[in-house]
Amino acid sequence: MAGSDGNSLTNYAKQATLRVVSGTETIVAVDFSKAKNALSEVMTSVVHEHQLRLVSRHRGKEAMLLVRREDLAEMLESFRFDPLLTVGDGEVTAELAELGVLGFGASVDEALEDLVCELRRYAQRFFERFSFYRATDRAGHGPWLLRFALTPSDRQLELLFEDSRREAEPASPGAATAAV
Amino acid sequence: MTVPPRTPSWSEIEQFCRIDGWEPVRETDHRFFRKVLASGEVLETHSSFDSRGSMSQGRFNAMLRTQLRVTREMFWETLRAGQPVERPAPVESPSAPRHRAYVLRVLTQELRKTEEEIAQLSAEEGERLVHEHWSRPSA
Repeated sequence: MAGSDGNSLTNYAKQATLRVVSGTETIVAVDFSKAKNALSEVMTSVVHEHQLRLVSRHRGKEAMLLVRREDLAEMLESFRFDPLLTVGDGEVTAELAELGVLGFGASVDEALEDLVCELRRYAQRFFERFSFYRATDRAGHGPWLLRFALTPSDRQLELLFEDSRREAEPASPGAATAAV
Repeated sequence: MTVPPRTPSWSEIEQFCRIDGWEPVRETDHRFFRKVLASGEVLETHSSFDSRGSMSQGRFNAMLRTQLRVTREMFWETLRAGQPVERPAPVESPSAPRHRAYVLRVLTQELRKTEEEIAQLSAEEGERLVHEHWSRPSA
């Protein structure tokens, strides 16, 4: 889409300085050396203009994707956490069985906080040794762990209650009206 | 074989991992173990540094199901016989109803249900109680 305002023209001019590798790419691809020389512009387009950029070298044989952190987190929103909890012997057990992660505590909140700590440890291991995990049955854990890792630490606990909010919404008359 | 009603100590969890061929992995505040099965499935668990203490039945059941991937009988038999588990192995079933996070939070914090009362509720009954609670007009 071509824009007629000044900002759009400026953006277009900036983009023109980055050599697009191929006109058939779904995502704008930028040659590595050009991207390196115009890194500030590339980062501005990715971060401020929400543009994805594929940086490639060796005639496209190697490529990496640049995407704004928050944009990627939004794209991963469908990968939701739905922990199951049990109570017994004075202890609450929280489990994300699909990820093989457990948390424990004397209360629901303590168990979920412990589960968040365990998820942090697992995400750290997973991305430190991604070349190992990606070749195992755990490769599919990647989107959940990436979403968790991209979420600021003070909001990671909220991820475990997403479905509680979703369940609560129909009970709220205001939410029901807003949905119409 | 007779299965002990007690739960294992952390040192017995470590003993199981050693016998079953789990690889110890360095971590700062836990003893961490990993096992890669012939199928490519990766199992991971960790034990507390307090190797003398034991754990609740709920914790042991969850570890058996989601991490060690064996039944309670097989766990104790592995310790007794000193032989690794033959895999694929049957897995322990949940020992108590499992509730979603929001259900358990409302049951404990808003409806003030005790542990004993919650233990009597199925997952469906727990959800029904929460939704009934929400549907009541607030005073």
